Amino acid sequence: MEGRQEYAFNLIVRKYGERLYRLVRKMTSSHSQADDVLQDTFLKVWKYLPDFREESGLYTWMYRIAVNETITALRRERLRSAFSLSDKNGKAALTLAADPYFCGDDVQRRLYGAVAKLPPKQRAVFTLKYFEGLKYEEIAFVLGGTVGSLKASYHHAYTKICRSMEEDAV
Amino acid sequence: MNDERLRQDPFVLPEGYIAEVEESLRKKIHRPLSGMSVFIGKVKPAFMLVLVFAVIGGFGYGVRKLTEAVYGTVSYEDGFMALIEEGYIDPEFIYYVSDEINVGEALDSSLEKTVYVDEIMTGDLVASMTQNEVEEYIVSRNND
Repeated sequence: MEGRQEYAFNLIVRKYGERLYRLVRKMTSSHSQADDVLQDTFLKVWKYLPDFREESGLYTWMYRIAVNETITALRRERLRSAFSLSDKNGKAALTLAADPYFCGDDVQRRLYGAVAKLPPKQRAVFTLKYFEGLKYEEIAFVLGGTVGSLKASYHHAYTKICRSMEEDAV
Repeated sequence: MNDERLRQDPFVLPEGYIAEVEESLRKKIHRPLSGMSVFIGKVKPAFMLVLVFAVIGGFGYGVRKLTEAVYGTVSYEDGFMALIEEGYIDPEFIYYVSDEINVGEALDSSLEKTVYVDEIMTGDLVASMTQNEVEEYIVSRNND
């Protein structure tokens, strides 16, 4: 039984791994953090796959796990860095500039640097709306919360990002 | 921000990354649990249950200590005696309290003690007056 489950699980990793990685990478600060989150996501998928009842599609289910695992990881990092004396705001932009897997231009670097400054949940809302193009109802299904609160969260995130990008451009 | 180019994914997937993830997950899934992990897995639910009861017990203890600090220590063994000593219950009521309170008897007792007064007297009576004071007042009124 476990042989078949493992075979199915390997297929799932191969089929959906890249899509989930790209989703997680947009919200995280580095490749290694995205890697950790992706592996935690798949370990949860492995653990709960036998109980999966197809109320939503398989990818939708994994998508939700990935987003929520990312938020958890970001909150953990935020707590850790709260006790650190390093310059947190500057760190995100510097990390991206040195990232060998980032191939964007300067504007994109400033954009992702600004996104990295957002609180975890707001970062997720912005990513799902702006980059992933999800409707608010779909975001509510993934993250919970009301459409109204998500709209407000996205609006605040958008404003902060615009301001941050203008400051970085100067 | 409205530039569609900004929404394009600027990140590159490292070469052979998904295969590495598959391999890493395979090792983690098949990693044998250490004795400590198994022990913790079994003990943790029981420990959490004990902790919950300890917290509830701690609250109860704290409330009791606070009550004693505010109202003083009540050393009466019988709760009813304590209420009588503190003046909350008329001592004569104790004769009507048994293992099962007989409502009829309690009502009879209450009616026997009831003092009926006319409308003129009610204006002079004060709620804080004791039964003896009321009776004395009635006697003095009757003698007038």
